[in-house]
Amino acid sequence: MSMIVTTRHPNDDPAIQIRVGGLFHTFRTVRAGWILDLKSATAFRGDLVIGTLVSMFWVIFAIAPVLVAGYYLGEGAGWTQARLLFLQAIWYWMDAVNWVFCVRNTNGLATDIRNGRLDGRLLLPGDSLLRVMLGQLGVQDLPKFLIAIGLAAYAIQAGAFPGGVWHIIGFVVCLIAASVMFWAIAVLSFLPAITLFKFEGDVIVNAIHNLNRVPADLYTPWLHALFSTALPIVLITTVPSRVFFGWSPWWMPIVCVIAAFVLLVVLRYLWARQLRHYVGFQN
Amino acid sequence: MTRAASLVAWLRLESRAAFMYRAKLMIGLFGWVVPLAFMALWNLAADGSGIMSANQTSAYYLVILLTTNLFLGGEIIFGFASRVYTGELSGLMLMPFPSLLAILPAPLMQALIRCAPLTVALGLLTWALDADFQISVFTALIAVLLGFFGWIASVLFCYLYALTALWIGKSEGILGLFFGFWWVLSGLVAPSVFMPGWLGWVMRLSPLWLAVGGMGELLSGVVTPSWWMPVSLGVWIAGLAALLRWAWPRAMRRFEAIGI
Repeated sequence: MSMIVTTRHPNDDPAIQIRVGGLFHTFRTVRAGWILDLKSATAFRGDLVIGTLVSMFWVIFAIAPVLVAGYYLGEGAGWTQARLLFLQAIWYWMDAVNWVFCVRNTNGLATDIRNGRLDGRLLLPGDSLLRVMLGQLGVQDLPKFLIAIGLAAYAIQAGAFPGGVWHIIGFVVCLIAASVMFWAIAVLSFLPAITLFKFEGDVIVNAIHNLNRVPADLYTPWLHALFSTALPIVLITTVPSRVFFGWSPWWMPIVCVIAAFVLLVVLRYLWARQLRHYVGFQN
Repeated sequence: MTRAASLVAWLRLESRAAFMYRAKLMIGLFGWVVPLAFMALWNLAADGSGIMSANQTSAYYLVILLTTNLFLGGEIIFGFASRVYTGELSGLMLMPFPSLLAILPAPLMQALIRCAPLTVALGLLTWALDADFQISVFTALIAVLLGFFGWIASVLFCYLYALTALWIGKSEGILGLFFGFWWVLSGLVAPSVFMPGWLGWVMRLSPLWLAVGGMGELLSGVVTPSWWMPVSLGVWIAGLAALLRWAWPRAMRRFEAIGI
């Protein structure tokens, strides 16, 4: 819902017009929330330091299987140790997306449903999906993005070379689309909480996230077929890697963008549908 | 009511609750994907290694599915930290048995009930993946002992780690680091025979490997069955229990019983 609201500045400045409730206004409120989170993070720098140190430990554990398996892999199905490390970098990027954009918002949704705060948040002007599910930022996990980029650079230096310039551009498109898809999947996983009140969607997100730790082509043929069609998680880490190495056809980035768009449309539809069945609840 | 009777009554109640809330049971099945993902990786890597065949790694990771399903580290470590943080631990201290035990009934019953669909899944996966189990009577006996003693040792280990919550508060990031070490030392990341020399030895000496990966390597025929495995677990259990007995009162002196 969008409307023109005329308001007067507290200092008796001339009246200014603000379009309240439009998409632009929503983005401004989301941005304001993020800035607030960043300012809080500067006040609690200890959290950021601990978060960075823990993230650095975890990246070692995350790549451990690939490092060990890499000694025995050789050129197995094209997935050398360096290429698997590159895939791990994308996986870690998705981990950053999860902790920075998803976890705080999805957990916040679950809490707000139980204590009744969601009722109030839904009355705020603007797009409710974006405001509720993207309004908070997990600032202490922001360094994960830098760690992922560092890991990718190391993998490239170790031999995971790109196919060419167009493949790098295609990879960036795929990575952005995959990040959007991951956020959408995380939100979708928590939607049942709106009507069930208690639903642990994080287990589903973690399952999908963990399946992406290894290239989808390494799974048994029937699982690979499942992950490429009915449950297309192959688009999250495997396809961006394959596009980067130049192993995928030129139209694959377009498929990723279309898939992300379709997922967003489905998410918006299901969000509205769930909210229609939402009843205020206070525990 | 005696301590044992009240604990049994609680376990019975939690088993009914776990069965009633079947959605949680189904959600728990998603936790199986980590061993399956690593199985896919090692099926590819093992064939060229000459150490294990792909069918043996399949058997190894199917056993890991069972042992990790019974591992309650997350519930113990985060469950205890959460009860310290909220002050709920104060109430648990009034119970007629050690308050540490109060964390166990709900996750234990959920894990045991999950074993029913897991058994069916293991049968199907053994057939679908042509998993190569190498089982004799002696191997089966050692495996059962490992499973039982290993579970006790891992619970004691996690209890000890959980006590650190009384020093570091509800820092989930630091508490969660345990699981990184657990991934490597338990054999979830890779069987010990694939690890670089010293790390493989460290793994085989740790109770986490004996509790999780040891049974997998035993039943896939990579490790020769020996009495040293359950005996060393017995030594670990005695040591960990003594350490927990020493650490528990010292840790509890730090509990301020202030919740949020």
